[in-house]
Amino acid sequence: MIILISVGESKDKGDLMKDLLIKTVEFGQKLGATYAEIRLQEIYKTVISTKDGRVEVVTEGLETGAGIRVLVDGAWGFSTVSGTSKETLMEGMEKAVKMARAASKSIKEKIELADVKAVEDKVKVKPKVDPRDVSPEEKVDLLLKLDSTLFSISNSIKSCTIDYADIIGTQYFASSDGTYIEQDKLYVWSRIFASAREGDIFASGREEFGSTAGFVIWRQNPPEEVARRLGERLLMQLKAKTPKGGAFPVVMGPNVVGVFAHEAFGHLAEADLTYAGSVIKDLIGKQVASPLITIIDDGTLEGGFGSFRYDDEGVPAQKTILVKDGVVVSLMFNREYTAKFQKIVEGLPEDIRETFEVKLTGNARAEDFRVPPLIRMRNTYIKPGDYSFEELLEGIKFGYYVKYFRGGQANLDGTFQVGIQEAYEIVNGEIGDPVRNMSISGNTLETLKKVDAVGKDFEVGAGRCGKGQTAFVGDGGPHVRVKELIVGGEM
Amino acid sequence: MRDDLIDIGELGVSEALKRGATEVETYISWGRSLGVKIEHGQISFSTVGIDNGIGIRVAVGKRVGFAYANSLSPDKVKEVAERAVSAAKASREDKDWRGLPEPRTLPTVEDVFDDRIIKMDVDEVSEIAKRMLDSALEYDKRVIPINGGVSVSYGTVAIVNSKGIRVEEKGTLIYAGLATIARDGTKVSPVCYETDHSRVLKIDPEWVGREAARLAVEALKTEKVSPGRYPVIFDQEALSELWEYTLTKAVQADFVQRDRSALKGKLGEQVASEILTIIDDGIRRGGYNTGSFDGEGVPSQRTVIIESGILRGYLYDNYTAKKENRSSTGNAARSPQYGPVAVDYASTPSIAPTNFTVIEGDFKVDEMISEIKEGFYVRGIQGAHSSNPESGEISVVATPCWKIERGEVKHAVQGAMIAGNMFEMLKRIAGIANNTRQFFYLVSPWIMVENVRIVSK
Repeated sequence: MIILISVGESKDKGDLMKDLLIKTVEFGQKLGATYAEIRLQEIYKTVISTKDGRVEVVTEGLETGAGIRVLVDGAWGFSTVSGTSKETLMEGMEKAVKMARAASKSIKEKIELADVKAVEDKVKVKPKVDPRDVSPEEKVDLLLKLDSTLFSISNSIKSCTIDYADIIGTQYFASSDGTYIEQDKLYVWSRIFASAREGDIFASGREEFGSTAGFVIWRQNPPEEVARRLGERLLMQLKAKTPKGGAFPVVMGPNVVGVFAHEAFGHLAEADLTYAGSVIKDLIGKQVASPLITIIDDGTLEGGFGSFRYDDEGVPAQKTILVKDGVVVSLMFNREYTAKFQKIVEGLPEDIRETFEVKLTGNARAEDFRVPPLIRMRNTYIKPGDYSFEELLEGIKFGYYVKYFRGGQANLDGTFQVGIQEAYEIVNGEIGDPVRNMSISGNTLETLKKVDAVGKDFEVGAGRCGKGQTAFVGDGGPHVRVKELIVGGEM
Repeated sequence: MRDDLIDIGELGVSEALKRGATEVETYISWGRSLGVKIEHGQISFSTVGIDNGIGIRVAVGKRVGFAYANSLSPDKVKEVAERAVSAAKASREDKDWRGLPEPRTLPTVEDVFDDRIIKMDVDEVSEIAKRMLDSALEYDKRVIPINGGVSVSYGTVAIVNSKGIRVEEKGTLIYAGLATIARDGTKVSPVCYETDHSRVLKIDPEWVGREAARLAVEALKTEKVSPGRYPVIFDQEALSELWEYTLTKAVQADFVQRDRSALKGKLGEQVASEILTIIDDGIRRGGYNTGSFDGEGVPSQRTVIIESGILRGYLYDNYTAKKENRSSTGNAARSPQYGPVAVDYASTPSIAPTNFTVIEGDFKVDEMISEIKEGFYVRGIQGAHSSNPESGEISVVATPCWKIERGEVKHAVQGAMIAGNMFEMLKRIAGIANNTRQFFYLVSPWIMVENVRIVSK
């Protein structure tokens, strides 16, 4: 089923908004902007927090404001305003132009934008179960059900914190390229932190899920099932041993593969970070991974937490293949970096220009109207291969199976770290004892080369990514086997 | 600056009471920021923003609701009051809810506001950014300042509640920060970062640029290291990362009350090396998080956490304090780090440290390094957020990180992991230097820990 449906032109409130936004953009051009855009948002949030069976607070939020971005003499200016009156927007535009003009005084290399096709569209969401049709009382009931189920699993379970949010709104976007888009936004998100304790032994675990498909995500994750999953993980951690430190073969579950695809590789292939000097800067169009590896950043995945129709520069979201059979074939671009890389590839040999494609991918995203868009991931995953789980374990004398991550981080030099909340030993090709306080790390490119088998299953989960701003993203993949990874633990 | 925030707060209180709230708290903030961004070695972007809003927390009996909007117009304030009351009615009774805080006398705080910051225009901010950038570029040709910037922000916060709290305070901040890498042929250093920030107009942008550049250049030359146990010096950036997810959580009263803290029940016990003393100092002169009151209008104070290694106290907000029949320590913050909302007026209070202050020792930095036969100096930590906040277990990558041999910093190290337990590491602190500086919430000198497990290939 298609979630995002475009409908044709119709006369409504949108037409007034359209006039207002286009007038604001034209005012910017009159003041000297060579490019001007305005992104106006109306957002409603419902947030519920529970702690150990008590409802801490139910929150309702209203936000209305606009982010205005312009180019003057090759430099950017941005201003953000609260409210949407004509005076406020015009004043905001004036400030944005002033900001750009100030920045242009010291610009050395002028910023250019890749050309776009002007778009006019309205995108309406058709959620599977609209969160507005679910009463706050019913939402509270679900969270408390999850909480009570978790505590009923064992006396060792000590705490459970649940955060729920639904975010619903409309974004109006106009730019001096003639684009005007009205786009509905709808997110449903939850995160659960829980802990357990037996004497001096502590365990902690988390679950997170989110969707752009609607409240249906709670139907797909019934509270009893989430509680059971989390409870079992906590009890397992309590009796788990600490890992041996050193280099071992590792099988990563889809949840860990997702964070690996996102953190370890994805950030290196965000065109702004690649340009800044990430380790793949000199490797575009070249083999960087095992031929078994294909990595995709997909803005079109149905219901994906990182899915949308148009990005925050009005570019349609694409399904972008970043690595194909081990070769870097593209990056994640916005308009500025598409233009920069179009220049770079002109100077590269013919064969690289044939493999490596520079085009608008629709990766420009802003957290909200308070900030300008940056290059961000959407739903990032590794494409499945043809191994069964048992086949992946086969032949491993001693290694680790890492199933759920706790957190992950990477550096432009290509080192990454992923903390693990659920892991097991692999002994003679079979899953063995559970392991606690574990993390894996290594060099991304070395690790990608050491992948020697890719599973045939596939799962994509939801998460949030921080890059100065928060973005809702999805990530995942199949099970993946790596010949050798560094495991942090006892020596 | 606006001077009508208290009036808006009063309006919010009376509107919510009219609609059936038994208790009301309004939090109003108005702020402006001006920033200049550096990308790829040039200033290419400047931004300006005004943000303001109101958050209203109400109790209807023991049910608590909250609503906010990014507008201070009377109509919006009424709508927010209405929504807060309806949110409370959709909530459940919290038997431990014992009311909003009562008014108390506020302390005087110094150097948290500077008129000169308010008066700065974008060209002056640009000039500071340019000085920072130029000093990084002049340091070495191999340095690439990848991103950074200078920003100034100022604003006013007011809190009014139905128990009689009516407080208002203005503040200013100037920030300069730069992230660099160095490239030499195909060799790339890890990202290195330096910052200076101040509540008054007193920063050294040249120092930030030079240090960010120096670190990247010195991180270029790497060698492999053998795994083992070593003495490790952690600097402020590394400590702030490691403690954010372990120690600062374990001393929060909500963690303690909910059996999530390894420091629960250990008041009066030795929990760290006897040379360690930590005070959460909410009234530190010019401190990053200094203010005369916290996010609930409760007075800020100095709270002794660890004294000569002995655990002396925890951090409380109003809710956790009332549960134990004691006073809040003024540690209610209004900006959650990982919640679904990121602005102050949009969030309900949660416990956080203010200026988490380690009392410095008398070790000079040079002496500290020269005493180490074989060990490490760790500047940054990757993956600290994947630590286990309950147990204190960490398993992180140290980067940037340097090897110390025979009392000298020799070369950088790539991909070294630190594995262990933060609460065990506190007991093995063997040296505290005398180079105190503030790095956001943390005020600390360098700290040396013995017998730290380093994992590498």
